Amino acid sequence: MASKVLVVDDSMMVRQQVKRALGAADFAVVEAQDGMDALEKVMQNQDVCLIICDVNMPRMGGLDFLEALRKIPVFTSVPVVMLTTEAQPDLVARAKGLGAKGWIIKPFKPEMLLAAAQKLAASKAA
Amino acid sequence: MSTVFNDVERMLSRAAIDLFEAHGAATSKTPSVEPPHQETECIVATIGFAVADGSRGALVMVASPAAIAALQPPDGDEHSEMILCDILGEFSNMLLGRVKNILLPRGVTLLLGTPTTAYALKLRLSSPFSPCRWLAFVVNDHAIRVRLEVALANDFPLADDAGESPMAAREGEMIVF
Repeated sequence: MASKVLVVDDSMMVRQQVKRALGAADFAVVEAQDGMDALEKVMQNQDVCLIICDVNMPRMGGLDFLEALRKIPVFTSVPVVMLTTEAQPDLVARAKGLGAKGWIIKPFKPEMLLAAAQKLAASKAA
Repeated sequence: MSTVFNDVERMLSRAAIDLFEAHGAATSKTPSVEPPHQETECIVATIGFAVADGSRGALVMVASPAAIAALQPPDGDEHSEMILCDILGEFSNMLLGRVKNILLPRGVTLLLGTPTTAYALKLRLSSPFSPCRWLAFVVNDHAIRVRLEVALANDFPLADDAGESPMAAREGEMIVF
């Protein structure tokens, strides 16, 4: 069965780019357009093995989503990679403190994202 | 216009060229530009920012549907207004993000909003309340215009570029925790 990845970004273009990048491997992609939407989607897809998440989004940003996610017992250790235009050190430190596994600054290289996704999905499955 | 405004404008110009070229687009800057009064259809994206000292501003991008489709071809054959608005909105986000990353080592941290977009016919933009300037680029043989407006709370001096960037990483890079 395909490993499930949740992609959270308010840009449809970015979600499509991520979906295309992960399409090179056997990933099933679930999309959410902001942090609030992502919280609903993870509850409907508790088997997600990886979450790729933007930072600046309407309604609920990526770091607030990550903080809320970690309070849900089944998601305390699901791997999360932030994908954003931000490179501000205190934001990066907050993500790290909340247990994120990586931080990618847009625009991303598809092969790099795919390699990271494969590695993190494998570690979740192990 | 203040020295700070001129410095920020130069950063924006450099960031725009880098961003478009990072997407494989042949890019050049047009020396001077008037506000657009386009008779044909176009897409507008705007994104606001603020600084802790009370300074604030906005970035506005204006481009034709053809310019956007040439810069980032949408998936499939569908070039709907919604998709083109989304693409230009994301470019405005990435452009302002790059400006933020250039300003970080100069001691200024921008707080970014999220982009708002619109599809327009016979676009007429109202005059901003703040000082503004239009920049124009030719990207893949299409015009893309960018308006920078900044209201400075204080004409803060930008710190010298220390060379050592406090950025966690560069565009296109990944930090692994």
